[in-house]
Amino acid sequence: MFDYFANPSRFKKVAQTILPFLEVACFFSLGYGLYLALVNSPSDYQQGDAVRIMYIHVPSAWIALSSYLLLGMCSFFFLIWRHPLAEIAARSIAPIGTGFAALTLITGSLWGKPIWGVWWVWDGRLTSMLILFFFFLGYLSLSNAFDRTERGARPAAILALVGCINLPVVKFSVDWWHTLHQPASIMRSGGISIDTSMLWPLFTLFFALQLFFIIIVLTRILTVLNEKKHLTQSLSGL
Amino acid sequence: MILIFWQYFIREFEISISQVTDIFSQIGFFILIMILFPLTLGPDPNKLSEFGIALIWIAAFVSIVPAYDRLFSDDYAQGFIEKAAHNAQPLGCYAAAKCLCFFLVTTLPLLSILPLICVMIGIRLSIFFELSISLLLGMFGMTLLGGIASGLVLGARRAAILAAVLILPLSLPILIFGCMTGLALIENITTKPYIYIMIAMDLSLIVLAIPAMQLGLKNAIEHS
Repeated sequence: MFDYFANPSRFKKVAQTILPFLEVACFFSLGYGLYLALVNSPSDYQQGDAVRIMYIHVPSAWIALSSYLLLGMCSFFFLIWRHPLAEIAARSIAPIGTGFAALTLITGSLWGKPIWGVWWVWDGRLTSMLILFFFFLGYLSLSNAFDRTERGARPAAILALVGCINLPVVKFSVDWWHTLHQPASIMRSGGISIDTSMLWPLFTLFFALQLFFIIIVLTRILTVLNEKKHLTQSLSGL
Repeated sequence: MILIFWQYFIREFEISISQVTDIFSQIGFFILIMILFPLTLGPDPNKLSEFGIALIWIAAFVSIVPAYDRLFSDDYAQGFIEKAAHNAQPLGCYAAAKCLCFFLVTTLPLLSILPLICVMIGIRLSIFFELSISLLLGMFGMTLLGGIASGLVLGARRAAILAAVLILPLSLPILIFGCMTGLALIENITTKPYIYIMIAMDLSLIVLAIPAMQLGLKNAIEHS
């Protein structure tokens, strides 16, 4: 299946076909999710309306983590099979993942100020999220550090794979270090532990932001492919 | 393979001995960083001995990180890595020898002046042995991480600062558990769990770092 979709022109055709549908779905789910989160969901009995930050904070944290995982997987495919599309995908994912990691840190600190009373604490999860952000930055700076851009692809891919050891640390940091950040409270081994009135906006917004992530990444990949095509065409015209 | 490993190692060792001023300047850098702490934190001996272990770790890390980008860059510029790649033995063998030698010539001089530093910032010398063990383990892991980063940044612009940016996030677990060992020493509780974790980290880093260095070096010589 990977081979089938890894053909750049076929990928382009499929991506261009599904992109409009994704955009429409993203638009409506974002609107509906924001309506649910901001208007049609109860405020927390302790946190008041500040709990609504969660509907952005938690999905962006999930997306930041999963985009690093995706970056690692693309790098793996690129290193093993040397497939150019995997490299383009990794390059396209990295800045978006950085953005979501930054969004997680910013919303987290905005949430922390009214609830914890501080903007920042040196807690296990906060610190490891910050480290994840720096891994993204390291990936970005390494992949752009060479005079010829292709030259940075393999070093950056190796770095992305090495950096994957941080992922379990971020995920389980709240269980390993019992500090300020609350432990995983949406899915526990006993099942879903959050009330459905809060679960729905959370999942809708997660879905919307995930779609947003996919749309941006696909658009970036398409841009790079078109750029390359344009370059070869203009070179062959010389 | 072991024979080749030792040949590489001895070559490296001779080169490092001939450039002995590098080692001295690095040790000087380490001491100078340690001098900065009493000047910035204030000369209060209680405070200094409380933070002492952490300060030693920070100074050791900061003094060694700028050295990593030249771990492979001299050999890369002289074409030695290409020569080593034509050898029957894998490049990882060369990289491992290089890292081992780099580790020894940077860490052993550091340990040799550590008693002096301990006296200066008021850490009692009875914990010196265990402190050295934890530093040795930590710097060993650091060298492997430095090897990975150094292999990746070969041929990059501003390689030194880039290598530092790549190494520091990766090295945090070593720093955390190294300092925990030190704190356990100060509080007179057992350091064994931390030492074991550091040994485990070093062993897994060996497994991770040698293929990563090999990949990085191969890629660098393919493009040179």
